[in-house]
Formats: sequence, C-alpha cells, structure tokens
Amino acid sequence: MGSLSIGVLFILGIGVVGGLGGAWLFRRLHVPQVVGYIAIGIIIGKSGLGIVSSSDIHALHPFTMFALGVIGFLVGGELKGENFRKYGKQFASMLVCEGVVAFVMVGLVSAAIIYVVSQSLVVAAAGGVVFGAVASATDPASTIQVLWEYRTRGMVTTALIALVAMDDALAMTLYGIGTSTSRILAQGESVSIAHEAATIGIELGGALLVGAIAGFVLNFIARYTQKDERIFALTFGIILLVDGIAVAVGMDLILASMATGVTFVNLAPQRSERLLKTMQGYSEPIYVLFFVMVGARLGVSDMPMWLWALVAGYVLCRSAGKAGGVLLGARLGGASGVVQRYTGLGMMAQGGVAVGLAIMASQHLQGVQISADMSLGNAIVYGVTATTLIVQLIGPPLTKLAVKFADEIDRDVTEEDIIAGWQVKDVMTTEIPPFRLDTPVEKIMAAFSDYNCFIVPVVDKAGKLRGTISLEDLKEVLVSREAWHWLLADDVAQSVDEKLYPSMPLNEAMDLMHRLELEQMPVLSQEDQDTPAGILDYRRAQRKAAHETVKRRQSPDEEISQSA
Amino acid sequence: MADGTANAVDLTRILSADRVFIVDTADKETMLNNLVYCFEDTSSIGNLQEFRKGIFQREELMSTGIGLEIGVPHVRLASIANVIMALGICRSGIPDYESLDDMPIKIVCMIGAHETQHSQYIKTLARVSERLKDDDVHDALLQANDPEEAYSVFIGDKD
Repeated sequence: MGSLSIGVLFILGIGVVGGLGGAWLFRRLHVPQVVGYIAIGIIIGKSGLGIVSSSDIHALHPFTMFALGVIGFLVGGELKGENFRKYGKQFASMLVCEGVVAFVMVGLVSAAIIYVVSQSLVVAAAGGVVFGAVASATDPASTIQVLWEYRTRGMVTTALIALVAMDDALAMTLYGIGTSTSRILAQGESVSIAHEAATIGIELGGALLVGAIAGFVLNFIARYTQKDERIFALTFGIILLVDGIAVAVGMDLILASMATGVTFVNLAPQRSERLLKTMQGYSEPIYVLFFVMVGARLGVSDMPMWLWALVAGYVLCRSAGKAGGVLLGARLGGASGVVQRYTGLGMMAQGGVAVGLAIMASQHLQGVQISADMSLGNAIVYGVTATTLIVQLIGPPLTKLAVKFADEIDRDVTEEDIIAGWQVKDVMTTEIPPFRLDTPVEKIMAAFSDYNCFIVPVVDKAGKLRGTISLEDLKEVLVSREAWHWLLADDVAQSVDEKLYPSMPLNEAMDLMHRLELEQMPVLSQEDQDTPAGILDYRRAQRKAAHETVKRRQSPDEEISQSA
Repeated sequence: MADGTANAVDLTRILSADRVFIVDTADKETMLNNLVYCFEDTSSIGNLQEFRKGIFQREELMSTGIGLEIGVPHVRLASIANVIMALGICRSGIPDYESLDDMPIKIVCMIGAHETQHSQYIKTLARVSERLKDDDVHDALLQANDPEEAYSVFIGDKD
C-alpha cells in the first residue's frame, strides 16, 4: 500500500512537471498547451513508455472525477444567462444540428464498415448507432482550455462555450436512445426505448437539479462569508460533494457541476467573477494532471485494419458532421456570418464523455461478435479510444484556428493584462525633444504648450541626460516673467535618480512611478544609456491601455458596425 | 513687481554683512573669485573649489548679467548645505561681465544652494532680481559708503 502511494505521488509529480514541459514545447510551436499535456500523457502512458500503468490510472480515478467537476464548474461559470436570452435560439439550433448531423454521418459510415466485416445488418446498425451517439459529444475541457489560454472573447467564443457545455447532454440522450436500440437490435432484449429515454432524462434532470441546488447553497453561504479564501475552499468542497453524489447515483458528473457553476454565476455575477478568476489560476495543476491522465489512459493495442479504417471514417465524418451541422444550425438560427463560418471548426475535441460512453456501451454489447476475434463492445472501446487520441491532438489546434479566423484571440483582457504585456517603448512619447542646459526657461515654457507635455528632458553638450524640468519645477518663476530670459534649463532642472529604458516591462515602470509619485519620467536609450529616448507619461499609459482594452474586448462585429 | 512667493524669502537668514564688499575696479574673474572666497570660513560649503568651478561653468553656459547693471552668478551643488549669498559692488562697473542689455555690471549677488533646494533656490533668485531692479535699492547700494550700509540697504533696513 505504502509503495503504491509513493508511486502515485511520483506519477502525479511526473504528470505536472512533464505536462508543463510539454505545454512549454507546444506553445513554442504555436500549438495549444493542452495538446502538450495530452502528448506527455501519451508518452508516459499505456501507448508510450508505460510509466503510468492501468492500476495507477485506476488509483487516480477519484482525482480525475474531481478535475472533471472543477472543469465542469468553471465551464458553467462561463454561461451567462444574458447570452442565452440573447442567442438561445441560435445555440439550440446549432446544438441539435451539429449533434444530429455528426450522429447520422458517423453512424452511417461505422455501420457500413461493420457490415462489411460482420455481414450482419443488425450488428452493423447496433454499432453504427453507438458510434454515432458517441461522436456527437464534444470535449468541453480541452475546448475551454484553448479559449482560456488565448483569452478569447466574441460571438464564436460565446457559441463554442454554450455548445460544448450543452452537447454532453445531447450526446447522452442520443447514447441512451442509441444503446437501447442497439441492444434491441443486436441481442433482441426487450428494452423499452421510452423507458430508457425516461431513465436518461431522470439522470440528466437529476444532475441539473443536484447542481442547481448546490449552486444555491454555495451562493447562500458565500453571501455571509467575508474572506475570498474561505469562499474558494467552500467552492471546492461543494464541487466534491456534487461529484460524490453524481458518481454514487450514476448521474452525469460534468453536467451536475456545470449546473452548480451556471447557478452561482447567474445568482451572484459580481462575487462569482472574482472567484472564477482565482479558481482558473489556482486550478492549473489540476488541469495539467487531468489532461496528462487523459493521454496516459488512451491505449490502442493491436487493432485490426478494418477498425483503423473505421477510425479514419469516424474522424472524417465526425469532423464534417460537426462543421456542417454547426453551419446548418447557425443558418437556421439566424446566427452571424462569423459564427456560421468558424464555430464548427472549434467543436472537434472529443474527450472523457466519449470514452466513458464507449465503455458503458461495451459492457452492454460484449456478447455481440463482429468477427471471430473482436466483439462489438471491444470494437467500440478501441475505436473510440483511437479516435479520441487523434481528435484530442488535432481538436485543440483547430479550436485555436477557429477563434483566430474569427479574430477573437486576446480580446478577453483587462487593463492590467494589457499593461503587463507592454514595454515602456510601446507607450512612451518620442516627439518631445531634449533641451540643452543653456536653453532659456522662456523657450522651455513655450515647449510645454507646443508639445502639450508636463516634463522635458535636459541634456548637456554631448546629448547626455542631465535632468528634467517639469511644470511643477517652474511654478516658482511663473510670475517672475522677466526671469524667464536669464534663467536657464541648468538652473531649474532636477536630477533623475531612477531610470527607465524602452525594453523595460511597462508594469514595472509604472509601479516605480507610482512609488516615486511621478506622473512623467524620462526614458533612456537602450544602447547609449545616458541619452534620452522619450518620456513615459503615467496617465497617458493608463489611457492607452484602457483604450486598447476596450478595442480588444469589442467583437469584430461591433468594430465593423462602429466603423460603418 | 511684488511677488508674494519671492517676498517670503528672508534675506537676513542667507546674507550676512561680512559677505558684502565694495571695490572700485574689478574684472569679472576677480569679482567672482572674491565672492567665492567670502565663503572660505563657512561650513555651508563642503568643497569651495567645486563651488568655484560650478559658478564659472554656469557663466560659460550664459553670462548671469541679467541687465540693469546686475549680475546674479548662481549654482546648485550637493556639497552646499543651505542657501547662501554674497554681495559685491563695483561702482565703476565690470567691463567684461556680459549682460543682457550690454550695460556694465555694478552689483553682483552670488547665490548657492543644495541641489535639492529647488524651490527655495528659485524663490531666492527671483527675490534678489526683484530687489536689485528696484531703482531706489539699486541707487542706494551704489552710493553706500561701506559694506554694513550696503547690507542694510539690501536686506531692507534702509527702505
């Protein structure tokens, strides 16, 4: 037992450190970091070096459940009621179309291939229905990770969040109906489709109910809790409770925790915003480990050629079905052009729900043989695992492409984010010329009005900075106008102790100015460190960052309508 | 022009009678050196040579002859503890002391301050300029019989 614990802890360490290393590498290749986590998982998992064994994955199962709960809660936190009120019709139409079109296309191609191998129409139909149902699910976790990583904001982002959050429920409904049909078709079981649909409805409805109640409870307690850390801990506790109930009763865990997130964010928009932001930051190791484990558990061993053909057909038809379905649904729902064109591209990821549904289906269909050495149940598990492996690697980059084409990357930003990403040179003013030490104050007074500035740099004959003159420095001579002729820059300049450089991070420079209580400071040239390169104005930098924030947060549609 | 801010400068705190002298003739360098060495015995100036160098460097940038026969050599340095002042009068005029109005300089008021005493330094310069441009004060200084009388006129005892 002791050695197992140490092993699991070691694997956790390898998972987080290795996952971050993989993410670093993939970021440099401009590929979403979630692919890096999964790739590391594949390397250390069943399909790779085998460092993570099946028993380790089993031991870490509760952690995976918890991670799914946290991700579900955060995805729910992205679902603002106002978006549903505004775009509900579009989302519903897109959801149904993308799920059903993917279901039909994958179902048909899978059934065709299984028929060729099994020569049984019934087995082919049963297999097609399950593969089709599984194909309709989209992985919310990796899709949302990509959106967070690239700070996206806009209509395509909103549509993607809404669709990936809801299509698990659609996939489960299709799955419930599909597996019941399959069992009836393949095994002749006397299962009532209506009964199965009712059971699925209760499972989904139960998950929503439990999640919503938990959201109410969280909001109620949070209202009387002052410290953010306590609300943070409470949220984790509530997620664990919801996960526990969902697993015990057999309800959809992601849907339940998502319902908690949706309820909380819509009951307390202000309070929840800070909490969700903090959670997103502190949950990073949880996501890393979760996705590494997703990769580690994907094992594809000795699949027959026909199953690889099915995998290829599945991936192609699912991709085409998702893209085509979203396009159709978006057109029917009257969504904007950008949503029609790009949302489908962002819906490719396939994750835990698909694998989970495949495992459940395999248990029901284990006794049905496709060929001598492959049951329908095993074919579904292997097939879905292989497609997940492929789609998890190509899905996140396609999601990135979707939001890139929609011009929504880097739009979900705050002023602090903008300032943190800029350097001094991005906002410094370079039009104010330096004044020599022998310049009469009269000329400097004129410069203040000519350049609309509050500070000018003063240099010696060699062009080296000797100090600055601010309007504040000149207030003593404002009334003694005749002194302006004989007082020189040298007489009124103040020396500069702290220095700024163009490549300095803007937030560091602004912190320094705030500490020194300076509104403006000279910036020295990087190459020749005593030569002035410009002036950094604190308020101007703030204004520019605020302007940039507004500009980036505007969706491209809003920009077009404003410029028109 | 009366300036409340400049008037707030108390000249008696920065000028003493022993730092006032009257000469009949002098060139600019001699006058400035005489004024610099007035501070030989004071602890307010940490480095007299640096002070002298600073005064002459400022003159190189532009002459401190501000017109109306007045010169105001000045400098700010880290080695000066407080605002200091010395007054020199040359009735015949200093021929090589360039001035904004090309008139020979007759009254020279040297001012020094610590480099951070910006406000006080500028106020003192403005106050001195304003005081010396007052015709009555200007004439009385040139007619003073001895340094004590000149000191009294300058600080306002004989207004």
